[in-house]
Amino acid sequence: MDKKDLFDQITEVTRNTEDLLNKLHETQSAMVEIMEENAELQIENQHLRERLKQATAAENEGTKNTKYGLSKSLQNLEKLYASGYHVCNEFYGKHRQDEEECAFCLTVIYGDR
Amino acid sequence: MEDLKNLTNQAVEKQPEIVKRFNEMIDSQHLSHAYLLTGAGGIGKKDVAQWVAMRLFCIDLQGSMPCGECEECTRIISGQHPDVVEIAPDGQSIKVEQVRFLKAEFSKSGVEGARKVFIIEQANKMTTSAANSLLKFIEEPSGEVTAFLLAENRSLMLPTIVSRTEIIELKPLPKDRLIKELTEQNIAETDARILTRLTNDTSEIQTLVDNNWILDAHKALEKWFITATTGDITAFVDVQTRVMALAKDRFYQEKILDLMMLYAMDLLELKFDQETITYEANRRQLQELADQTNVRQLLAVADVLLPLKHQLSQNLNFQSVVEKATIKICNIFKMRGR
Amino acid sequence: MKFTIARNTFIKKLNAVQRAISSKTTIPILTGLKIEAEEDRLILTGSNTDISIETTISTNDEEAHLNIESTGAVVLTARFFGDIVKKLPDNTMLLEVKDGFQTTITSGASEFKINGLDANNFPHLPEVDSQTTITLKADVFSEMINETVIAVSNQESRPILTGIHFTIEGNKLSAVATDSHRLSQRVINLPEPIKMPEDIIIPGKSLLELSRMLDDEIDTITLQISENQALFTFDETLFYSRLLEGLYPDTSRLIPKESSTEMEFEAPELLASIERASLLSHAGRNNVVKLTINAANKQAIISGDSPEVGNVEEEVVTKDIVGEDLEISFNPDYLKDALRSFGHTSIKMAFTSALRPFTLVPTEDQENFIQLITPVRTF
Repeated sequence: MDKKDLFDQITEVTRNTEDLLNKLHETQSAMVEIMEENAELQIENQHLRERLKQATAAENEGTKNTKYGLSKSLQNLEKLYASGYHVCNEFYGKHRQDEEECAFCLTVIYGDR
Repeated sequence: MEDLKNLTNQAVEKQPEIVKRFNEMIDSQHLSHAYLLTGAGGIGKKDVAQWVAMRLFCIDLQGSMPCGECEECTRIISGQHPDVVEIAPDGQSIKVEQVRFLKAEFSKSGVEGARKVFIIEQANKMTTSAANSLLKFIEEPSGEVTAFLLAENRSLMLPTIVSRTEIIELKPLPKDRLIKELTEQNIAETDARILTRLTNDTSEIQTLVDNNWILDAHKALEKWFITATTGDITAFVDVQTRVMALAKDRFYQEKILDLMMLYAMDLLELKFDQETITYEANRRQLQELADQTNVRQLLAVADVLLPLKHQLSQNLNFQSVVEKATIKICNIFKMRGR
Repeated sequence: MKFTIARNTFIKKLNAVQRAISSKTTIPILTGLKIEAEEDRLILTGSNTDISIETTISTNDEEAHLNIESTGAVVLTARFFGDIVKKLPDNTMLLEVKDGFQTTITSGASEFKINGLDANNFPHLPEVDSQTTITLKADVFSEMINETVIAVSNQESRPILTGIHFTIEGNKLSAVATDSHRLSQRVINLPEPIKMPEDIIIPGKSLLELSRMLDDEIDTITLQISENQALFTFDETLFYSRLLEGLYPDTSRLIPKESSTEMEFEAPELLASIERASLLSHAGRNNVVKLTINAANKQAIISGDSPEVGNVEEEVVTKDIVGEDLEISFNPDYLKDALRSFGHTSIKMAFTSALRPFTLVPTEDQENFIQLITPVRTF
């Protein structure tokens, strides 16, 4: 292989690698997006189940406060937060990067009332 | 300075109605936050976007026209205005860092004033997630922001983007104007006429003009067509010796089939005494041929050529498709050569 | 344009302006330095659009030996123009721009000719004529930046949190930053009340750059706000920063109003303990340390446990502990940053529960400076 071919080839390989990297980036963000959507759906699903329960068990006397004095809906939020998603107004439904704690979310769940 | 001035005029000349519409929107302060400008390449999408930017920033408006000469206008035209942010795909796509830059720019105030304009070329080359991440900014921008997304076709864009922008379809350029523009670029008028029959897209035209491809193709096909229509079977050899060298890839192959078709159409035009034909340079020869053949034969030629493009799209081999067609045409004109 | 100037003075000013100039930019002219000669002064400007720095050398400045023969303006590529100026042989230099922006730089026996650019294409910095001009002590403001910038987010996905939120109302200037994991808030009192309240978000990066320029020689700094830029003025320098647009989240509700456990200590003491404990937490997979408070015994224990590496436990020297017993875990790096921002002072730390953010304030001044940290959930 002469030098020019070699050079062309390396350029080609570099370009291919760049393309691949870009595709990886895309796939990564697509995945995060799906996870976030999934989280939102989970929240929604939870809410719907909750409504269903309330509807079927009408005798149920309102929302009982349970663990840490949290209401059912706050418990849901807590569960969702624990599974790695924001529940605060600012970033609702977004994936919590590296599972880092979020002061906004914690205030929503445990804050003063 | 001279060519800068040209650029200003291009939006006005290429898309006078659109320019007028934007003028009205600006005057009545009804400019939206986001526009999707669609239309083929070379149709003046970026010209229109830059024109609007100039209209908004120009410090020496001539009536309702930007002057094209002040510091604001010249900086916009040369892409140096910090508050007119332009992004075009870097290679195959709009890259992750480019989108990051865009988002950062969307979230910051202007450098020189409150107003900002964004121009995103080939916006369809953004990845889905990149486009989605820009939605928030397009939907509820902070400050006086106008974003232009440019794309050839609205169907290339995500529905979420389409639904959040005002769509403006640019009209194809008038043929005469395109021909005039091409002759100004030292392309012979006869060639310009052929080119505009093939495409409206100036970037495609440029590709066809490069390395004299259109000139060579015109010559080769002229020889091939004349030979074939005298019923001379050596036209079959022309396919291998003359045409194949020009058919480098699918793009050129399709254009060759279009060029062939244009001969058949010219013959029909002449048979029915129409004035304008594509191959003006061959008018005499074609007129003679049209006179000597009957309509049935001419329609038969069209019938042979029409399905070729479809066959090509079904991955049939270009050379064998054209060779087969050549034999059929020779057969139609068999009697004439003798 | 033609002028002569003492090279030392010119280099000093050039260095200041060069902070704003980046070689990576989408607008080519921004790799350049703008030099503008007026009748009685020379103005140097650099900009990366995010920040712009403009500095003036007056003909009255004796050290500068500035002599302007003719006025004008040019933009020169900053990197190699800077290198050239620094390597010139003589104490003075002459700069002359001819037609077509060709620039000649002469010093001693050396002469450079370089191509310049049209200064008209350089960004035009806004004229700031705001009615509100706030004058601050440079060292206090610099401190304010450094205390709050630690909590600024570096994630572009939340652009608004990459800035420090300034609000000015009455005679109070307050600065808040949060990356949602922690928060810093500092308030300073202004000598006189401001007529119009202001509310702006300035990128943390801009402010860090600004604070680096505020050395001991600078006494006061003024702040003016235009519709799109914040302008800081000190000495002969103008420092512009673009603003972040949008609404900053309401941070006041993040700060708990009550507490169930309080602990008092000297900042350096706890800092030293945390630094030791974080040696192990850094080596482990999750960067967490635990604080165990036994209120009855007035005892506070910092511990770190990394299964792969080992564990550490140490009792913290405290001044006082009141309230309920508590076990709380957190990222030691956040606490280190917060403690460092306090310097040598006595701190009060207040907790509400193991799940809610806790706060640190100086015992002496509990109103004007607060650091807040979110605990890590360990179940």
